[in-house]
Amino acid sequence: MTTQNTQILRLGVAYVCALITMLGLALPGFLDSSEGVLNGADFFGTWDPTMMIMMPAIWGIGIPLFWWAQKRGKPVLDTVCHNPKKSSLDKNLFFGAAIFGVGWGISGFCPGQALSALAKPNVELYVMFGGMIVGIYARYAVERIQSRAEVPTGQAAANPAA
Amino acid sequence: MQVLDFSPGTAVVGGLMTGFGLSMLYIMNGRIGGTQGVMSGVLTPTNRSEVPWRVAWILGMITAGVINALWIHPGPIFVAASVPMMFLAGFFMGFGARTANGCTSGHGLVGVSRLSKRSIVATMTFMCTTILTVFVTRHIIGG
Repeated sequence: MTTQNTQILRLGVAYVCALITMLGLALPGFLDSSEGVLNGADFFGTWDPTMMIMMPAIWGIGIPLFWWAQKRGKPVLDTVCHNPKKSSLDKNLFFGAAIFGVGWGISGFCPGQALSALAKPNVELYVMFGGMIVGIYARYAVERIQSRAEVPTGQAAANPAA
Repeated sequence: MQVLDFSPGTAVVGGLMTGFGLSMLYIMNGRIGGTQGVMSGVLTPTNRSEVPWRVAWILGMITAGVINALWIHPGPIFVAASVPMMFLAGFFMGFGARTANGCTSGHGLVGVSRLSKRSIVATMTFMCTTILTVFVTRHIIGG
């Protein structure tokens, strides 16, 4: 197979995999209502078990398949897997995740839910999505500032940005 | 409000689909389908050759939303929070996810499936603050 054909196949695979992934989220209603997530987190009120069942279902199939992927070593259509570079826990991980959770607990729509839900025009959702883009760029600005604060000898800053 | 299908049954079927889709992206393409990573890779790209697959992934996500809108759950979305709160929520999620290098899908679904220590910690952390936030908004502030 030519490299061009492989690239076309990879794009097709990405498209289809995203479709399957988000159709899975669509089925229970996670693209249509904040209540799936908010009730899923409302242990002291109107708790709904859907989210707490869905996540283990995802892990249940994901853990063996990712284990198998690692055992294979290389992806089917590419030469190497692109894995995250960091392995140690750091401040950014904690604070970033903590802040993220507050946003999710307010909206009930995570970035993935929101992106797919754009198919249904809704003012609140579109505003949230805009806020997300602003937030990403704001963090990008912080990263740029932090990397410019590196010691001129080239020594990396103590806490390199994400 | 439209009737939705939150139930153990759809949770399992949907969960298997979502897990399968994310796993296959990794097995076939060697890429992680975390929404923050995908978006950041398009909005602030560091490698232009990594943009096309991300665009394809995003188009697939939107297609799923269109299929949902046409055939699975036609009808309006229900959003619990106001416009200004939703902007804040979005900002927190965008900023926080990028700071943590991952969101619910990147850390919570893919990262945990890879048994990544960072992702397990990130997921536990954001689950806690999500639960806490819902508690505060529903049982302390809200009515």
